[in-house]
Amino acid sequence: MGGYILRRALGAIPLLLFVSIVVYGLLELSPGGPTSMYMRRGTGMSAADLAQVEASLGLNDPLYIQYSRWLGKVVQGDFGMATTSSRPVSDEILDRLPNTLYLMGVAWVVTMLIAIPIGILSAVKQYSKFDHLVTAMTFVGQSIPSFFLGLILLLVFYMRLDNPFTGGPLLPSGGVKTIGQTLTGWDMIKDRVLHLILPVTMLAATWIAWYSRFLRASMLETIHLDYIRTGRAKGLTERIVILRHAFRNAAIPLVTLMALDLPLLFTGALFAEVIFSWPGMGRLFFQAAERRDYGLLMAIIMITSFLIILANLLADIAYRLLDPRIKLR
Amino acid sequence: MIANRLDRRRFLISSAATGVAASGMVTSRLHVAAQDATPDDAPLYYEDTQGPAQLGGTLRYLLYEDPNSLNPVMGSTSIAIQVVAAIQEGLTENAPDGTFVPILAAELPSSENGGISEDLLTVTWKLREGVVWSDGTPLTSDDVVFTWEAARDAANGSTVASDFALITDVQAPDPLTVVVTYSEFNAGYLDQFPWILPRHATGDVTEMREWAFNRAPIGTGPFKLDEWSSGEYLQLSRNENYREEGKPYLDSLIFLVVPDESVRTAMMVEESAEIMLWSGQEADEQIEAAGVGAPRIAPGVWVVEMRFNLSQPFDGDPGVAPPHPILGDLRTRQAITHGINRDRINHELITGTVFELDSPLQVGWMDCQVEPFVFDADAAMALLDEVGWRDEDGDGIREAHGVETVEDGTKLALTMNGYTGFDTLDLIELAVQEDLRNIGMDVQIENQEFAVIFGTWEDNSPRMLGDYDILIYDAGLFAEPGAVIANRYAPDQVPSADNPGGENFHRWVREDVGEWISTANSSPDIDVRRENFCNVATAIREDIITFPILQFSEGSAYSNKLHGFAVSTWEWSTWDVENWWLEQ
Repeated sequence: MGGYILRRALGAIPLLLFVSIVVYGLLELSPGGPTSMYMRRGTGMSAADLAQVEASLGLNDPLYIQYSRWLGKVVQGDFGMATTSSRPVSDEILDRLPNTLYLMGVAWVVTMLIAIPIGILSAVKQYSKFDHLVTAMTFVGQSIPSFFLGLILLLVFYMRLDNPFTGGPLLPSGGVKTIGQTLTGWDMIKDRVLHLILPVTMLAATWIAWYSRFLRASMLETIHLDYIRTGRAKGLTERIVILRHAFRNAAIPLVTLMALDLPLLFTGALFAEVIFSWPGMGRLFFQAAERRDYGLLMAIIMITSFLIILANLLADIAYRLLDPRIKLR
Repeated sequence: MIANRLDRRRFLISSAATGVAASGMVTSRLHVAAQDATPDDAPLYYEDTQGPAQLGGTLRYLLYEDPNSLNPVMGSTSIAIQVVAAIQEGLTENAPDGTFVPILAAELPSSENGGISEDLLTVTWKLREGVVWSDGTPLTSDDVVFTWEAARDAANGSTVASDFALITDVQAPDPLTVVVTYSEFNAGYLDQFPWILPRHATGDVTEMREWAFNRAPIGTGPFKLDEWSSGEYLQLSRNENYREEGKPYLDSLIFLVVPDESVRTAMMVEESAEIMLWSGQEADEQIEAAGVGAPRIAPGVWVVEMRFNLSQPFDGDPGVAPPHPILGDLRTRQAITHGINRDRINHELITGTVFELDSPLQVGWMDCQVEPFVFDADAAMALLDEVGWRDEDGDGIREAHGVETVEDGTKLALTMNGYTGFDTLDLIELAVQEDLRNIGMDVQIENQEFAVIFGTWEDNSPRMLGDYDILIYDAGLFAEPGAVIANRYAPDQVPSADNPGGENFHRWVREDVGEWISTANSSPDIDVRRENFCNVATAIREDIITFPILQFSEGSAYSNKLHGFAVSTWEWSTWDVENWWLEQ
């Protein structure tokens, strides 16, 4: 297995190189550039100043020179400077990454805590009232555009409903915490949790729908297999049959799905971040694209590509660990 | 967009704010900004003069994106400058009427007070006494020298370097005196230092891009930055060392980054914020309906004009001759202005408040009054008849019958170019098209990408090459307009291979206009400048080079609990933040 991982890791290098060349070229082909934010409306800086700024940023060099300069730094772990803010790209990312991991992580845990039990239950009690209810809810969850759900949540919990004690809005409109107050201990935790409720609900609603449907289908397939019947015939309790025998096997594709979703923890969720004013990676990426901030864009795209490759590898390894019949070569 | 000397204003706001008159506050009043204009058509700006001020409180100000940098000479976005203006100050700023007032300078240098040498090449500034930076270090003339050192070279990352091109030297003979030497007179000398950078709190000028100052600035302004959480908020508190005793009134100022417009609106309605920058009409209506706030506006600097090409287009010659076959005749241009009903556009079609003006030079301290344009479709048709444009085939479009410059039978058809993605402009274009059709003129609308229409000579922009009939878009004028006026109207600024930066794309060549412009731009005397610029304005009106349709308003939504502020055409929203106060 060590050899397998090594081979996959080595195989990832040319793939990442290829991705970087394609993306770098595409960015160059797209209209505008890092200095276009300086010249909108033709009233900004003078052409002479612009030319000097471009020259000092090395934007006039041939593409392959710019690319090799970029690559040379990246292999040393330096993603360079973000053009528009003149800060190291790593600083920009590290500012946002904790917020993203925090929101996405919580939403992900909440999703699993809810999706797994209802996925199992609705499979075990197929065609029951519970199953029908879950099926209906998951259809809603899958169909509703998540930004729309976010706005509805805001309308209800921020604008319509008031906190009966303070008279203010029941839940905050967004952000990570209440700004302008230094809270400690329980107050701080309570404040953080209140700020998480709406964005987590928005994200988890869709994810729960997907994961629980997936698990339900996978469980249904499993519980009709012979070894489950054998288990029941041996006199095992229903609980053991479902959780230990059926779920563990049904969970294998689920783990793959989870592993493949890992890069989301890094990239964030743009809509939730925009609606709930969450300072995360999704907005950073969007803003970098708007401002044609090549350094920042390349860094985020390359890290995401790397994480996708890594996630695929992890999914394969997890598969192997959960199902010894699978051989990795 | 970048904030520099010529462009202290923001990137355009799509639709103007509404309803100044709907203000519920009895003690608030509207100012007549241009004192010598008749009150009916005078530009108005909003000022809240309720008092006395109450001390304390936290103001929450909604931005829609994160600032990029708080160093104003390094290309701050128009969002960033709203924050910068609460922290940093310059030698001067503009009052709402466009005139310059000293801020960190003790007085404005002039010939009378000896601030300007006889040859006009040396400007001596006296700094205000007793000003200290927010960290307690005194402000000295050396900081002004330092600002010049940092800003003059684009290689440092400065985006305003060319504003300093005429300066040969800046000296600090004593801590409160700055002597600026120019290679030639700079008519915009009062606007030379809109920001001052502290030498002690920055770093080496060649490393300006890496200064910690860019994210943690030290200023002389009413507030200082305590914390900047990227993409989330900027928290500012009162600068205890601020030069005005007892100010600012507010304890703290929090800029919240809230990207979604509907969320910003909701926060205003729920009173979770006091200012929503550039709110737009939909938000304004909701905020007003909730009774918590209202849009507060002033005339903006953006003026929508139709610009005429006086030279023949598409002849492979970007030069001035030969004249445009249709628009080359003044009577035809006159007919166009008579044919367009601006009143309908500005008061019926466009929602929100806009202002009407007859000259692009009718703004600010110039305030040039010219003969008003009059809507008179009959007069328009009579003029076209006179030139020889008549509709004899009955298709509703006139054709040439004895027009000297075109063959008989040529249709009276023109193309009008605007830019894409701006709904209000589309609306204006359609109204213009309809009005001109009614006088028998066929106007095709061709909107182009922003980058095409505002492209450079090297990009072969049709505007630069002279390959267009009529352009229609909004352009800004600035409190110190000398450079822009010279670039747009001087006879030697017709774009060409030798002068690719020229913007006289009207190809309007009048030597007397050139002389007026250079006289205005070589005098420090405001009256001389005004007189000469107004001569230019009159010439523009007589020759109908451009037809101004409207002036947008500038404004944001403000909570009814916020007082003491004025909305200025010429400065960023936080320009007078030291005077702001909140009802407790």
